[in-house]
Amino acid sequence: MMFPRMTLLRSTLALLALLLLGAVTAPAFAADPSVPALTGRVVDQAGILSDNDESRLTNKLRDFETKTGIQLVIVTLPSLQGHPIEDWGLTFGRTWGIGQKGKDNGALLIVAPNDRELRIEVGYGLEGTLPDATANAIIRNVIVPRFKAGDMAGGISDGVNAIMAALTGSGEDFTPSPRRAVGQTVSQWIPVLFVGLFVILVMAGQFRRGFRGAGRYYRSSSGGWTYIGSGFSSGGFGGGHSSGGGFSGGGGSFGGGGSSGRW
Amino acid sequence: MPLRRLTAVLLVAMATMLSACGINAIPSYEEQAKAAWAQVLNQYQRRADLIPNLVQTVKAAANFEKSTLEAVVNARAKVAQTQLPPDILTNPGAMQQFQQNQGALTSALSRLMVVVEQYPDLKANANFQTLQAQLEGTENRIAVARRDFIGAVQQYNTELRTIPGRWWAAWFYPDAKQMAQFQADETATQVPKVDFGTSNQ
Repeated sequence: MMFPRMTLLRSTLALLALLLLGAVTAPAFAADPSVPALTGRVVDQAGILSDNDESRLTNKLRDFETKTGIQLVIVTLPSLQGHPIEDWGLTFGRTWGIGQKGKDNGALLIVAPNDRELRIEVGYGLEGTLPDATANAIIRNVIVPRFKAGDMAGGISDGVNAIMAALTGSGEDFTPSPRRAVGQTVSQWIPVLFVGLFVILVMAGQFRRGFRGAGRYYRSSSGGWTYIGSGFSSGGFGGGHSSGGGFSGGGGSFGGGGSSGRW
Repeated sequence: MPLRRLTAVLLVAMATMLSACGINAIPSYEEQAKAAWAQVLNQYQRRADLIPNLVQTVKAAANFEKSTLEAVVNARAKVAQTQLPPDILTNPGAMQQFQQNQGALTSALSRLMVVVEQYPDLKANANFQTLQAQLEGTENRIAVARRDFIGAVQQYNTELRTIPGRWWAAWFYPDAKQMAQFQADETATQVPKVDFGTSNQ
């Protein structure tokens, strides 16, 4: 060994402090401020649905997710604020993480009544069962005629039915899929727990032997460890799956699939 | 020997910390950028694959403006002919050439779609409507893939230029090079102009 032991220890500590500093300045995730909260499966920002319609649609979408694992969300917007509707669809889909992580089986129906535009945004995993041309046909043949007649709730309801029919009518196996997100999270934690346990065991061993001289080093190293723990949970595992009564996205991803229309 | 054990503990903590604070950032950002690039190529390919069908359908429409159709066919041929060098990601010249070719195809296609407005029969054709929906979807996917690629390259390049990424690069990844960035899509922002007054024959 090149250095005397104390020097090695000291330089290790110095490097450790440096690394801590680096970890503190890790980039934060920038959230898009214009995205409304995902208040449920039906986010009626434009206020075009009655309470009755909203709860009926919510139940329908919940049943569909229970049956197929596919998350569908309806969003109405009072204004597109000058952005293309495609941007809204992508931003909502990705920010909310509609669909299961890894399966990316989510889709959104976005309606902007004042701009007279609508879009079906399709997650990566559903692009095969709900291709653009099908989404376009649903918009053109099912939804737009009702919208033109002024029947917003009817158009949305029929559109959702048509989307569900397209998604389940492909002859694929649609048995309820197990919720993988929870299991994945646990398995991701295992190495962290393992290393943590190891460090605790080693440190416990040190204390039992009555090693007092380097007490402050212990404190600093355990402080460092605590820090890593919190860094991990905010970086890697945030936005996980909620199993409570509320609705949240499962972490699905979107790549711009789907179709838009006007009326 | 307690001191040795203490050092071992610190080393374990440090190894964990190293990965927590970015020693792996450069290779993982590089992989992300490569994946984003693969997605860009994938979506452009998807568009190129749609074009023969589109051309056939449009050709079937009586008296369709020939020059518009030829422009699409030629632009697609040019895209297909151009070989991408293996180092395209770190080769700004090749990247620009790629962009120009794809941009030319984008504007030829958007011009085609504008001209189609003058052919109500074609617009009502179910086959054409399907193709149009596919093409619109693909253009949107291309836009998304491009945006993701721009973000991924920016993240990678920034990591290479800033501390501590710069130190990691100097110590562990001396071969890491800045990637060529997409320029803002000039052709996409140019709305194709069609003079309806004179082209109505």
